[in-house]
Amino acid sequence: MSQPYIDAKKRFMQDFINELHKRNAPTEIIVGYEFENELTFQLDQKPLSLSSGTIQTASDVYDMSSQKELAMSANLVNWSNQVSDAIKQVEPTALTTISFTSPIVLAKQKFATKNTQIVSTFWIFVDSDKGGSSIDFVDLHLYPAAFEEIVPCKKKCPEVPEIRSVPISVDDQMNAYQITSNKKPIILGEFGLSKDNPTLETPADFLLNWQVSSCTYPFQGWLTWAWDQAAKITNYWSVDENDGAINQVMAPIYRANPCKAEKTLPTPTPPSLPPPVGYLGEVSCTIFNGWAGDTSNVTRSVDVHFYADGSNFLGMTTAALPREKAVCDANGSTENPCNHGFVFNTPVSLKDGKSHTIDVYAISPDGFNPKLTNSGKTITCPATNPGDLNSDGKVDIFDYNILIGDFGKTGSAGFVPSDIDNNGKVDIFDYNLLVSNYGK
Amino acid sequence: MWSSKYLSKYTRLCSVFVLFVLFFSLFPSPVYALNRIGIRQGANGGEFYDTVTNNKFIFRGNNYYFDQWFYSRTDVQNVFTQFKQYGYNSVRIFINHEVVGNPSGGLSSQNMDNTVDLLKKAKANNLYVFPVLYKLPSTGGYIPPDSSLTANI
Repeated sequence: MSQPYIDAKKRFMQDFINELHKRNAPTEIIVGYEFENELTFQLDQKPLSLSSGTIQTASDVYDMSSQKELAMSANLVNWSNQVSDAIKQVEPTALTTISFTSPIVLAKQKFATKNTQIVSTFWIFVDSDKGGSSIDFVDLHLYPAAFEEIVPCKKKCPEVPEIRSVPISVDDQMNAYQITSNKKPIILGEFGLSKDNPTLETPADFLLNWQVSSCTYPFQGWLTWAWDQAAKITNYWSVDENDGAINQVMAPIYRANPCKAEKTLPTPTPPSLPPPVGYLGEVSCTIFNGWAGDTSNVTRSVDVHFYADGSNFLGMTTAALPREKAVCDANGSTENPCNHGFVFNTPVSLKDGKSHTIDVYAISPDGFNPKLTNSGKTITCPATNPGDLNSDGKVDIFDYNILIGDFGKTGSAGFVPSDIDNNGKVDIFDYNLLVSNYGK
Repeated sequence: MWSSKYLSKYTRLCSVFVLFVLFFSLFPSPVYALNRIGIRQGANGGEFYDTVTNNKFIFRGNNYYFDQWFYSRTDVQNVFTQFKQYGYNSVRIFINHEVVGNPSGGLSSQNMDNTVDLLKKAKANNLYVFPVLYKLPSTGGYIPPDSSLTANI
């Protein structure tokens, strides 16, 4: 936490937030910027491994024979205040936070990293009145854990000591934090169950009881670890596996009160709206066309997203062009024509002489996003010069005139051939691409 | 020609206008959407609340790993749609330090576009977001020259 490191973190946070603002991101839904995850110190690395001498830190000079704890605490406050202030300089209404894993788990868990700890004076994060950190709220992570200990023997002790596993409860972990003030909200930002941690109950029941027992403490929110991939990568039970077993005890529609084990009765089923429907028609080197609609709301126009070769996002458009009666009938619409058609210009990026598979998805704000019927078509388009907007085999004054006519227009990616770089607008970058290929 | 009476009135109007402009230049209005969740002291200590409705806010959500190497708008939309259906109101996401930086300097424009797309999908599904920016970007010039400076006090 030297000043160069603090400055780098401040710059990163400010750059990130400024980039969000530049893009008109909906920052109103950001609860708080968490600028450190599960903060720890490494006691076996310098300067904390030193047992004598003084060190110059960002906050002061400390004697390593007697002031290690003070050095950690003071620097944490200094670092977190500087970063928090930097965030608020660019987003004054933002909240800030840091997350922690319980000190007792770090110290005792059998697979804990050795020589890792957070400061024992945890109050510095929750009590700014006493000169602690100015972060707005605290994110604690409580995972079921256990440590191994030798079973004490009184008379005849076995040659090989008997080892027993002692669980570390929510109470043990919360007591280790020694939270002295409740002025700042705390959330349980991670809780989950490792597959290496066998329990007598099912994973779902275990986590349900774990959450309920956490309600002795003033948590203002719970977020499971984790929905899908994150849990699988770390060998934890994911919320969505086993037919969503954990989800069925965690989801608010099943259990409205996180502090009560009782499920909400009768158990509601998640709403199952009819998915959008649609059809991918022509897929050529010029256009893709087809139709898409939402049978649960026949007058609503849905967005369609275009992908090549699985994951290469090409762009999107709204299926709102007039289509004939057969399409209207398929969508359940009584109008004729009905506004469910789409046309999408084939992006230049696909014109490379290689085969590409095209998938199109209908996007519904209420339900899942199915692939349109007939997706998976393949096309192979000859390589063209970027800038050959009229596809006549050369980049010339006619292409230039097309681009000038479209200059300044915006739309979805590749909405007109003049959007050569597929960024959704006809601008100086497209102009430069055309000019650099002029005459070819 | 204006009489001194009109000139005086004109001068006063100009003064008011200048003060008006000066006031707003000193206190510029924010250029971002104000964060909706705030913190206040409740009966049991600090609590979150919705600054628009004034209602206390309890978060119920999941940590979600969104693939930043191969960002899929469809995957994110599908997951967030399910979150909404199940009644969750929040999601905690990690900004991958390996992807967020731009090797040419600063932050990756593509990654920022994807992050904004994710935020928009979260908003469309009534989800609040906890972004975690836990490490300095590996690229983009953020790591201090002496990397040993980043560790331990």
